[in-house]
Amino acid sequence: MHDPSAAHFRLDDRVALVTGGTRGIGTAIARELAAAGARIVLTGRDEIGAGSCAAALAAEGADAVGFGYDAREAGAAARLAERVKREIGRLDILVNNAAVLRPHLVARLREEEFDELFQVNVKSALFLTKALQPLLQISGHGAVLNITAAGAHAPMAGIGAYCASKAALVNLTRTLAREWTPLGIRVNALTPGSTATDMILPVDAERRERFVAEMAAQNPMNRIAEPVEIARAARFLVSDAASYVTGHVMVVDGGLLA
Amino acid sequence: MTAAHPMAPPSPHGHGLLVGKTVLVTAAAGTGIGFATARRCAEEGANVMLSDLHARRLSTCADALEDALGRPIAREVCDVRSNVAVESLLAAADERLGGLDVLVNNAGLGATIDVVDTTDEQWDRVLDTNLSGTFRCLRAALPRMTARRRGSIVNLASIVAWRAERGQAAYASSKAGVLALTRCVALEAAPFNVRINAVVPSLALHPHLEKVSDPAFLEKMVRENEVFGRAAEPWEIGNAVVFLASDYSSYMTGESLSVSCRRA
Repeated sequence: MHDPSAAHFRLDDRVALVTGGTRGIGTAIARELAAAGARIVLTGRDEIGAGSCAAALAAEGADAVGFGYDAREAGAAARLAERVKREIGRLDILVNNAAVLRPHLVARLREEEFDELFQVNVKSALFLTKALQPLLQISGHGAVLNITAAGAHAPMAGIGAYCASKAALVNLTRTLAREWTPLGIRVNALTPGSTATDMILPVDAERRERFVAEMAAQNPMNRIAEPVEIARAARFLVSDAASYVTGHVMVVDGGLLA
Repeated sequence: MTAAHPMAPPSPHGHGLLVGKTVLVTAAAGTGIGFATARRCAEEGANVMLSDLHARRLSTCADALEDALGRPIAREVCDVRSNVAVESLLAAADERLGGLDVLVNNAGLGATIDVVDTTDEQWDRVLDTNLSGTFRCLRAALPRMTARRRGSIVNLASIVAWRAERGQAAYASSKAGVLALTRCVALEAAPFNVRINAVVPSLALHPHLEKVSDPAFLEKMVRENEVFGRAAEPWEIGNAVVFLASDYSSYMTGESLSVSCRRA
């Protein structure tokens, strides 16, 4: 594939914070934004894991640091925002990617499970975004991207509360776009589909292979997504190429939800 | 509300997002989205063919693009309401571009009239151009693309497909039809690595629109509807088309990309 280097697709001199950046789609986004020229701050649940993932990206040539951030903890969002302000001093791009998924039938859903899903997927993302608003506003190129899920659009049996949390994130994306676009911060969401990451894959290797084959067979494109394909769409949305795009929930799913 | 950033960023210069690709844009000879899109595609390295209903305007625009880029630009007159014309347009693209990678269905026209006052002729003219015209071009392009196992089709829709505006029933219906067409054809084309998406603009200001519109109306539309505090520049819509035309959107099909905040 031709590697585009269009200026408006470039993110030179910009700082991007990617939460949940140590695995799957988050890592792919961090890598892609780094390739576009951005300086990366990625987060993982613990400092060591985030640091070693950032070091791995740095070994590929990225300018990346890793911060510990456990979105399950109350107050973690405020602490992360404070640290970004103190140690980095600027922010142009925020990708809210950190999320948890717990399979559950609603009939058996425990209150703690619901609270964890909404704490990580909605509340922490919202309060992190809110705390970083001043930095994003002075950027002049402020862009927030919330990573959501197909379940936000098409609820699925067995993950009802997760789907509801992602639907809440979609709704907040649209409100924030209305409130913050006039301040110079674009706010969008991205719905990846048929992407094989640790979060949704079974642990067992054989079941994993079967799961991926089924995902591919169900998709109109007859294949699953490469994480980089999700990351490239993310890059478009946070770049100046999307200068008039805000409040959009972009579905990148090979036509699954069409 | 006063926008902190009422200005669009500077118009970008191309750097090769569509190098090696061929692009055909319909209704590309105006001052609006069609020409801006063709220009953005060409700047990104695509071999572009311009099409339009108006021959004189087409040659003026294609010549201007040739001058700007310093290379020849193919052009072909086409009325998308005619199957014969559409077929000869696609044949011309085959011949002069050497196979079509990207089709941008931009041809469309509007009418502002209440439903009870709308004649069959007025209704048919809008639907025949916007929806059936897109269908005809799609149907002609698709077998060519599926045979090559590559291609991207981008259809121009409108925010009124999602958000009602008084007097826009025919136009909105045609554009909502374009979105449904986009999704359905996406399923047919996906197994052949051909992607079909839509771009959904709100208000893109350009000299022709400013000439034919009441300035007070345009100002009101921006003030009430556009959170950016300004209308879109046509090239900003063009950039969304470039993204969907490029390999950067390789896992996107059946999507309708909103370029404004009005769906939110």
